[in-house]
Amino acid sequence: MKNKYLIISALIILFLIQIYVPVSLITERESVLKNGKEYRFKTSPIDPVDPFRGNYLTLSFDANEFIVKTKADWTEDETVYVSLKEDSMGFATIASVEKNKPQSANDYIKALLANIYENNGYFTLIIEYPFDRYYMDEFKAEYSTEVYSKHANDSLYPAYAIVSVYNGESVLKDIIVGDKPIKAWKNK
Amino acid sequence: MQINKDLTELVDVGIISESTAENIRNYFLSKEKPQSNRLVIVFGILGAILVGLGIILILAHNWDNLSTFTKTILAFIPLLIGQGLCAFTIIKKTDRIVWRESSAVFLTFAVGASISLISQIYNISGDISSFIMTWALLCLPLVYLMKSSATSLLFIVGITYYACETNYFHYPHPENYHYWWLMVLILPFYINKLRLKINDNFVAFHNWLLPISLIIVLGTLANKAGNLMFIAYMSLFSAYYLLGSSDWFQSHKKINNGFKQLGIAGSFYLLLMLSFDSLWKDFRDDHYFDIIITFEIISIFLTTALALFLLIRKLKKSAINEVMPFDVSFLLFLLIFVFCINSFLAAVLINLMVLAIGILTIKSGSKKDHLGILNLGLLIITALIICRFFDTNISFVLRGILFILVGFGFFVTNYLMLKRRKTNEK
Repeated sequence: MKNKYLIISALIILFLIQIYVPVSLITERESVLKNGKEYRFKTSPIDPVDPFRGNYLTLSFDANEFIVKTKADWTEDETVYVSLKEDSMGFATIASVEKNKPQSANDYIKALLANIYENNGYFTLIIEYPFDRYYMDEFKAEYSTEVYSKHANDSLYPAYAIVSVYNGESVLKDIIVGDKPIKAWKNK
Repeated sequence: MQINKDLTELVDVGIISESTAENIRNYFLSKEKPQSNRLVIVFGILGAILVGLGIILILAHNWDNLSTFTKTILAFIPLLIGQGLCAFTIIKKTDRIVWRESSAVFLTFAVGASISLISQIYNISGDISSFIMTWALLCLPLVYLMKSSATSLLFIVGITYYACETNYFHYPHPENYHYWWLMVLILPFYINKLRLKINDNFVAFHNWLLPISLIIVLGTLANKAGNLMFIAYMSLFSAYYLLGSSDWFQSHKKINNGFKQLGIAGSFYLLLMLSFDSLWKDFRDDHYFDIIITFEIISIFLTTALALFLLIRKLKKSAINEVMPFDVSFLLFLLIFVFCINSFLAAVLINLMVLAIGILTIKSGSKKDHLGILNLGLLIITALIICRFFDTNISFVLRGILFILVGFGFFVTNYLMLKRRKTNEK
């Protein structure tokens, strides 16, 4: 009987952890959406599939390179903190990349230093953001990439992602193609 | 029941008494019960797996029309139902295997559905491997708390996929060794099952799945000197064979003894590969001396130590003439690798090893009057000769003669054994 109570108690703890994990995922994201600053990242999506989570668009971003003068002690696959600013068109660009959390600002992103390459004596840091997936309705995902390729060279309305950024965390809110949300495009 | 008719007939003609007939009837009735129980368990687990997977697939559609709030509620409904079922099982149906297994399996999939739906709602990145890792860790305690073998099997499948995804499916990949400690976490469950329920069907599944998983994932440790993994694999297969032939698995049916079968098949396959001199040329071209401590060396050390331990244990318990060729193949291969790698002798010695295994198997088949074992020995020799058939540096005439000799060997040995049987019957 004592053993049974022990199992029930352990089971209750497990249930709470199983609930806590998705709840903490939700609260973290909601806090970023509520408090974060929105940035617009120029992007190009392609359409792969995840066996458990369905179709999604993989995003690659224009603002993923940062040039430094020396290689210093940058190493690939390390965590870096990317501070952002906006260019004249209102799109996000990288203001600085640091190894430690910036103290002065809240709108920085915790990202991965994916690659470093040398060009004309300068070093380019390639940043991998933690928001490269946008989940789509399975019947719309393929069409969305078609819509994107039609608007790929649209200089008036370039495709971009809206990302909320707050204290290192980030949430991908939407993707805009041809000046409207990608989900709003209807299949022909 | 057919037996009822026969029993009535036997009672009518006075061969058995009514009470004996009743006893026989009771015996068969009690025997039938586990059969139907087993079916209920199988269907219960299959049902839970299908419903769970169905929920995950429906959610993977990514319903655009539903609001974030509705999706969030939907993410928790299967999870709460699964938890409710598990709680009910532990409180009211602890002794019912079917309840324990199916509720734990359902909850396992509900956890997966829940985290995948949250990932979709907030576009949470993270590849499939980190998703599986979170999922596996959230469900591991269920194996122990619900005593669920099916969940343990799912866990092993999950972590094997995780290891493949991180190490095989992506290149280049960061080094990832989480599989090994996850495997260590599930082992006590299996060992305990093995100790308590020797002939349980779930144990039989573990007997196959666990060694297969290790065979798949051991290769992920190959890095700078992948050829060294041949030693690790040979030791692993010998360890499997020794483990499968040990007293722990004595009461297991042959078909349920995955360790032994995989040990035989794996050792034999490796030896056949190693009988080609071209492979040894590859070994000679590698530079092993730069390697001091790498994962290849660690895996060789661990697998060989395990095989040695099992071999010494066997030697303590049985006579030296009971040692089988596959018990020691790892030691012989290791010696050949260390001392003969730079010589043509390496491939020759391996060929002789396979030949000796074939001959010993034939001898053992003949001694036990077992046509199956006898023909297995002949098949081993045939396989060796087929391999040599592809070696272009052996003359066609010699290869032809070898084939004819083994062909005759099949006829003569089978004929002699059947003849001996007939004489014995007379």
